[in-house]
This record gives sequence, structure tokens and C-alpha cells, in this order.
Amino acid sequence: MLALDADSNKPAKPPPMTPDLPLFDLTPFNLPLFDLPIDVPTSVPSSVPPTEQPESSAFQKREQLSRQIREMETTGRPGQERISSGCRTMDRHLPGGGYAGGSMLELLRSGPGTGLSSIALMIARQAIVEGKYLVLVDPQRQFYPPAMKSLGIPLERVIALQPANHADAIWGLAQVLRCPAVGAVIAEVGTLEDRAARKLQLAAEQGGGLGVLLRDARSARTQPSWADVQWTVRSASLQDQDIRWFHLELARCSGGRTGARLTVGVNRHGQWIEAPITQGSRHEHASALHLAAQLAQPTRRRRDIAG
Amino acid sequence: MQADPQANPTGIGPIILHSRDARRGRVVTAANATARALGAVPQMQLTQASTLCPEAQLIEQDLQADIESLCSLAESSQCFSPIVGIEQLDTQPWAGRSLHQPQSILLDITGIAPLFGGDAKLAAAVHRWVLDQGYWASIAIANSVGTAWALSNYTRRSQIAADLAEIERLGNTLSLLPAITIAQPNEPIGAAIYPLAIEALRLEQATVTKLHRLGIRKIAQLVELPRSGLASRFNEQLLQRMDQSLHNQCEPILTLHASPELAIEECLEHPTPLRTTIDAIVTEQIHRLTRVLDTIGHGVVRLVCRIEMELNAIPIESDIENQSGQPPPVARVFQIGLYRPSNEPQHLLWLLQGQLDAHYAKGPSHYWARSISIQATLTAPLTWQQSDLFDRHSTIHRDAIAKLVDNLSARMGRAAVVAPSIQRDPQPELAYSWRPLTGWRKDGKIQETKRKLARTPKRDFSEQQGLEPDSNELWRRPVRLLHPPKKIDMQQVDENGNPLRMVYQGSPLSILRATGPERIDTGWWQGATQQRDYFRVELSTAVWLWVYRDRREQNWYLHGEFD
Repeated sequence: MLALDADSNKPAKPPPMTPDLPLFDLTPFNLPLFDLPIDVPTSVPSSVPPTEQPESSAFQKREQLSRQIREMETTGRPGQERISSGCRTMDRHLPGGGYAGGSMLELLRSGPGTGLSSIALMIARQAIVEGKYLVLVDPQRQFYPPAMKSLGIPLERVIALQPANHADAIWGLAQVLRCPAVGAVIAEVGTLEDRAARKLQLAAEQGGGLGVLLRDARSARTQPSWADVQWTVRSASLQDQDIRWFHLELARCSGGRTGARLTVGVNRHGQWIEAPITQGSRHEHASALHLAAQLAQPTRRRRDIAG
Repeated sequence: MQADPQANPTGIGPIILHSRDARRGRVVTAANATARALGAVPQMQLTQASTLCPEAQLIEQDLQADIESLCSLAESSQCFSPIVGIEQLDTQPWAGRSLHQPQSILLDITGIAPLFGGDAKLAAAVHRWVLDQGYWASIAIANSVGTAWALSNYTRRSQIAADLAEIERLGNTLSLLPAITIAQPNEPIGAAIYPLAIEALRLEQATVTKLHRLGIRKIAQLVELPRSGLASRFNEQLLQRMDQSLHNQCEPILTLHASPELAIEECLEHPTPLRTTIDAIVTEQIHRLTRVLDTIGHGVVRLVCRIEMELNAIPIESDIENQSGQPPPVARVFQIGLYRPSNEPQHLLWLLQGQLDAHYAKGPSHYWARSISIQATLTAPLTWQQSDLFDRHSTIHRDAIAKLVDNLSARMGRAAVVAPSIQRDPQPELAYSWRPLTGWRKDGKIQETKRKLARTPKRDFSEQQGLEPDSNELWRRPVRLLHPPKKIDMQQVDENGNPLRMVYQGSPLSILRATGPERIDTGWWQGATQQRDYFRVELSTAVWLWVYRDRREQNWYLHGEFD
């Protein structure tokens, strides 16, 4: 049917973002050379046997398609391994129970001091097992090593890049992501043009580490992204002196469900704490089934502006 | 040696360079003649110096960059002599020096002077070359390292100081300064330095102070003392230095360049402007070099590529005018330093290409390449990758990470690729540092890569158990530290001094909780005393900040974000 060889080295065509697109964006996001028609049946590969039961056929097709697309998207990745975030509540919302090795994760900041760096370091801590390194791209030179140490990061395996300009930062980030010895990269990026974003994703696929980008929520909404998962982070205030609480909202999750909200905390020993469950807050988002969204592959959020 | 301040032609104000001393806080490391005339001298505390000349320009001295420039200059000064080194330091700094850093380049010119038409002409050529590189240097030629060092450093000290003040006032270039001293070959050995001060012998400050108390200030006075008495009253260093400077005792020059088998040179029959030709030759040379290194089991730590140029086109007139003040480039020297020894040709080529690209990106030049040489100026044994039974991953990653660090440092500069280290210091901004992963040590030797790779804190203070609350606990220190701290407007404070309401990002916000104070006082030995009360505040927007009140100024500052 289409060029599905997933030759990820080719520069990808930006995802089609026609304004007359129906409510759901079915097109795979980071698939190269795709001009997928919107209606489902024509895009079924010839190898898929036709389903017999008409009522469940749409659902099965959707499942099959999404699985195939997922496979094509991730062929560039070194393995199918998942990096657990260390937090069970967070892992539950991620497909496969963790972040994919060789993928990008974006944390979106709603304001300064909201805990983005702490969450990033907590996730990165899980990704640098087996002697792998953590690289920080820190143009503002603000990361504070004593705090990183108390978060349980082995400082002898931390390298920081302090680039002088944006071009150097992106170049360095791509180099670092491509290195198989790097388990996780945390980078503060201001603006990210689509080519750079795509380059970073390809580099991450080659290296197999986890790229964590810290971005401003407002700029991330209007700029393209090739990240698998996007969390919007806000700090939360609960009556606990020594636990820092965060509200996380899943803004994008490829192969999973967006919109999930969770509250997690980190105590003074650097352990994840799950939020005390209060009446009524038992995740109405998680329990309510958005049927229409389910049928039309809800993992793709419609984006305002094409890359 | 001094950088030539040609950039500022209309008089120079006072300039003070400073660096941080572990015990005394910020101290002056160098001051120009104008600043010295106002009373600022090296080793003075910066606060004191800045009161003496308040309009002085204060610049933090980058000591590592100084060493790198000196080593690069030494490596490229091989156009005069095959044996080039930098001075070797003692354990203690020498009297009369404010920095414990090498500052001199030594050239062995035995048998070379006739090629340049005599000692004076050689010295003049060196002088011109140094000026072309953008520096000014005091040059001396003598029979021994000690004598040459003394002559170059001390012969014209007072005259140069006086002239410097004049030059800085008028804004002239340093090239007008007298620079060359040549010892007369028919003089008795050592006689040339008799009138110099005893500091010219490279002695420790303690020895010099003792001699001064005895009334001995000149070398001529020192020579008259009985040697047996000196031996019993002073340390060995004094006698050794006297022998080296006055009696021609041999002193080795530790060279920076490669042994002959690790230097490969190719002279072209016809000069070429073509980048492709140069690339092909460099590639072939690096492959040859790595084959030689393979046989001895070494890898390159520092590589120098030298391209000799010659003028090969008739420049049009406008170019002549442009270049009238510019010296003809005789050679281009490209240097790469590696984080770990490597003998992979692809990796070395990649690093070198980056430097060549930067040079050839400037466009075509009238200077064509005449000969190309590659030298491995520093090599180290390749560590064998013995597979540990349980720790296989760390060795694999170590090689990959070393390559990554090399690549990043080559493009972004060594100061941009850093590793954290933690010091035990109560003052939060001094409790950590970022250290570059590649580069030179203080004494001008290359940093040991092994030591850097296996970097661990000297003592792990976080394991210490105490009764007082542990500052290493999470959420007691911010994840991001602002440097310098930002002044904030604290609108309301309760009767105990706890913050209640502050202005943050333009809007007044009430503080839900303030944890503190954590009182931090710094020692008198670290410069100006800091007395701070730190609070971790939680704003009504659930943002956590780290603020402090300066107890001396009674101002509030934002020092970090629990981001």
C-alpha cells in the first residue's frame, strides 16, 4: 500500500493538518511519507483478513491498525524495553507500563517553580541503571548538584552541557541522544522547530535512551512535537510539610489515553508517594469511557498548528 | 608574557584580574600598571583593591584558559626549535610570582642560531613571531635554563613596569617595549645575573624572606657567602637553584611534542589551496599514526596538526592594504585534546575535520599549504577492557561516553562540557562546582583521564549522621539555584521575622507556609561575611521557593526554585 519501510532517516513530511479534518486525527504522527486518507477502510493493509462480524469489525480494525501503526512507528527503536518511572500511578497511564526506550518525553511547565526539574530527575533516575549516564543540557546553569544528590542521582555519572546558544544546544542534544551510553537526557528547550524536533526523536531512537524535554506549556501547544508522552505539570498544595505534591495531566500519549490526571508526591527520602484518595476525585477521567474517542483512536490529539 | 591590548587604542583604565583563593576569598592575581600605581597589588584581597581603585575593571581570571593558551603557543613555537617545553613548577610558588602556574616557554636553540643569522636575529624573529600571535614576551638567550629564566624575568623588570604605565596612559602597543636580553658568551658563567635580585633564582618565598632579613638582596651578595654555611642554614633548593643558574648545572626541558615515530610529516611538491587534497593527506597520516600507536598499545590524548603555508598568489592591491598590518601566517596549527586515549582513526579524523572546517569556512586565502604534519604530542596506554564478571556495562559505557565528551568539547569548548562535584561548604553557592572534563592541570600537564572517569567525592559527607537536621535531605535545598540571588520585595513579615507576603513575578502573593529559618553564617576567611536566614516558602499558587534575608542588609533575596 504505502511506503511503510519506516526508513526513519528520511526527513519526514510534517503531519497533515488540514483545517477540515474531522474531530479525530487518524494520521500517524511520525510516520514518514504518509498521506493517509481519513476514512479507515481504505487504509487497511491488504494483509489484514477481513473480519466477519460486522458489529465488532470496526473496533477490531481500529485495534489492528493502531497496533500496526505503532509497530511501524517504533521500528527504529533498539528494543521494546520499557523504562518504568518508578511511580506505579504514573506507569498505569503509560502504554506498556513505562516510557519506551529511545523515545522523547515532554514535561510542560505552567509557570516557574512548578516542579518540572524534580519530576524529570525522578524519572531519569530510573533510566540510568546499569552504569548509564545522565546528561543535563542546562544553558542557564541553574541545576544544583547537592539537590540532585539528595534525589538519589549518582553524581559521578552526571555530565552537564552548558551551551552558549540555541544552535549548540540542539546540536549537543542530538549528539547526546545518539550515544548509547546515555540513559537519560534532561534538556531545557525554549523554542523547538519541527526539523530539530524530528532530528532529536531520530537521535533518541538510535541511542535508545530517554529524552526528557522541559518546555513551556504555551510554546509547546503551538509548536510541533515528536514526543511519545507529554505531561503538563503543576505543583499542588496538600497539607504535608515534607512532601512535595504535583498534579500531572497527560496531554499526549501515543498508544495510550490522553487527559488522565493524577496527583503524585515525592517525600524527603526521594520516594514517590501516591495521593490520598478523596471522595469524588477518584479520577472521573479514568473511569468515564469516551466511546467516540475510543473508536477514533484517541491517542492523537488534534493539534492547532502543523509543524 | 602578556596579551597585547591593541584593541583599545585610547588609553586603558585600571584593570584587575582576580581569582578565588580557597582560604582568603577573592584575591587579586594581576593588575595592570595603572592599577598598580593606584595601590592594587597581587595577592591583595579584591575588596581592598576595589576600594583603592573603585573605577577599575574587575575580570575573573580563567587560569585554565591561560595554561591552554601557553601550551598551544609552545606547541606552535616549534617553528624555531624542535625542543620546546614549558617551565616546571616546584611544590611551592616562587617568590615574586603571584600565581602557581607556568608562565614561561623554554626553547633549546643549540646549533640553531646560525640558521637565523646569529643569536640576536633569532631573538628578534622570536620577538616578532610572539607579537604576531597577539602577545608580548620578554626574551632572553643564555647558556643555561636558569640564567635565561633569570635574565628574561628580572633584567628589565623596573624599566618595563615604568614603560608599561606610560604605554597604558597613551594607549600604545606593547611592541615598543624592550624585550630582548642576550647573555654575552665570553662572560664568565653566571656573571650576567649577578646584579639581579635573588628572586631571579626561582626560590620559595620563605627562603627569600630569610635572606632579606640577613640583608642579602642581590645575587652578587649571595655568591659571596660560604657555600657550606648556606647548605646548613637553607634548604636544598637554594643550592640547587644557584648551581643551575650560576654554574651551568643541567636542567632538563620537558618537551610538549611527540617522539619522532609519532610525528608524520609530508611536504608537497607544489603547494595546494585545495581542501580535498589536505583532507586526503591528513586521513592517510592519521591512519599511519594509529598503526604505529597500535604496535605500542597507546592511544592519542593530544594531537597537533600543523599546516605550513606559503604565499602563492599575487595579492591585488586592496588585499595588500588590508593585510599591511597583518603578519603573513607561516603555519596554521590545529590542536585537539581528548578525554580518553583513543587510537580510532575515524574518531580522530572527525575531531580534526571540525577544526579544519572552521578554518576553511573563512574562504579562499592566498596562503597555500606547503607541508602537513601530524604529531601525537601526548599519548597514554589504552586501558584494556578486561571484562569484569559483574560490571560489564560500566566499561562499555565508559568508552562511549569518552567519545561523546570529546566530540562535545571539540565543538562547544571545554568549559561547556562539565561534571558536578560537591564541596563541604555551608554557603550554598560554594557547595558545588562544575568542572570541565577535558583540559590541562595547573602545572601544565594534561589531566589524567582515568582519575577523571572514576570521579567520586573525596569523602561522602551525606552519609554522616548528626543530631542537627541534615541539609542533604530532599526539599531542603532547591533543585535550581539562582546565581547571583535575585532581590525580592517582601511585603509582610510577622513578629518573629517569618515571611508572610511577597511579590513574585510582578504580583503580590501570600505565603501559605514558610519552613525555617536555616541560619547560614560564613567564615571570616572567605571574604565578606555572609549572614543569612533561609526559608523555604510555599506560595498560594503552590510554588515552592527558597528565599533568604540578609541579616546585615535586612534585604530579602530569592536564591532558588524547587522546580
